Amino acid sequence: MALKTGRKAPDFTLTSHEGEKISLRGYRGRNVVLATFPLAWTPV
Amino acid sequence: MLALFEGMQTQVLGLSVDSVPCLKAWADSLGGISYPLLSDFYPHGKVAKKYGVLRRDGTTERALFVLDRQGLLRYVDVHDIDQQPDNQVLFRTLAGIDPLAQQAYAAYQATLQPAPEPQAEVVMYCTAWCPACRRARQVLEQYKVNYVEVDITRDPEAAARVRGWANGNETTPVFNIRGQVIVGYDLVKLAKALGIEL
Repeated sequence: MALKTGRKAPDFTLTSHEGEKISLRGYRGRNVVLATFPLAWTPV
Repeated sequence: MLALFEGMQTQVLGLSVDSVPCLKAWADSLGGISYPLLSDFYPHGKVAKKYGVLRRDGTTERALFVLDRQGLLRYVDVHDIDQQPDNQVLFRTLAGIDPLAQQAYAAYQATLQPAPEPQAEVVMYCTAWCPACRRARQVLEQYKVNYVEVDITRDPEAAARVRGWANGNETTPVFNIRGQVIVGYDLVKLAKALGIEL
């Protein structure tokens, strides 16, 4: 089950496709849209 | 679209369980992606699991999380794996949780030019990015079908028309073929309505 609204989004640090380390907490003060998708190269 | 997210003080992040080189190659193949695609590759799907969107087959759900400035989850939506997320829902959500985003959205909407319904025999309501639209476009071109495309993200009246046909959803593509409306990319129905043999 996906997380529910109203709670704090868990922090994470991951590497982007450009090789940049990205931490969620680094965007505090901005809104964030996190979109997960099944796999690269899949059209649908 | 990304400019509008920017204007709405919003960072867009993509996430999948692919490796960094794989995401990079994919982004390059699409002509580059200007927001970060995050690699949740190792330990496999660790973040996806935390967010409850790791599927049993090891891939992630097609899901959207909207976080406000404090990092609180304000909107969560898990789509059917075949369905495309709808940016308009995101814009409306952001406008609802952030007054500055609301202003930017209102300013954007004021710039849109609603177009009259095209009179062409075959009209495809779509978005620039939707993969199902891309596939439909390929089929239409392959069979040399004359058609007109309407981008519903740029035409609020067209978007309203689509919502009217698709139970309130901004599903894409939607076809209007000589008055016959087909919601979604259904190759068999489409071929039948167009009178083409697959």
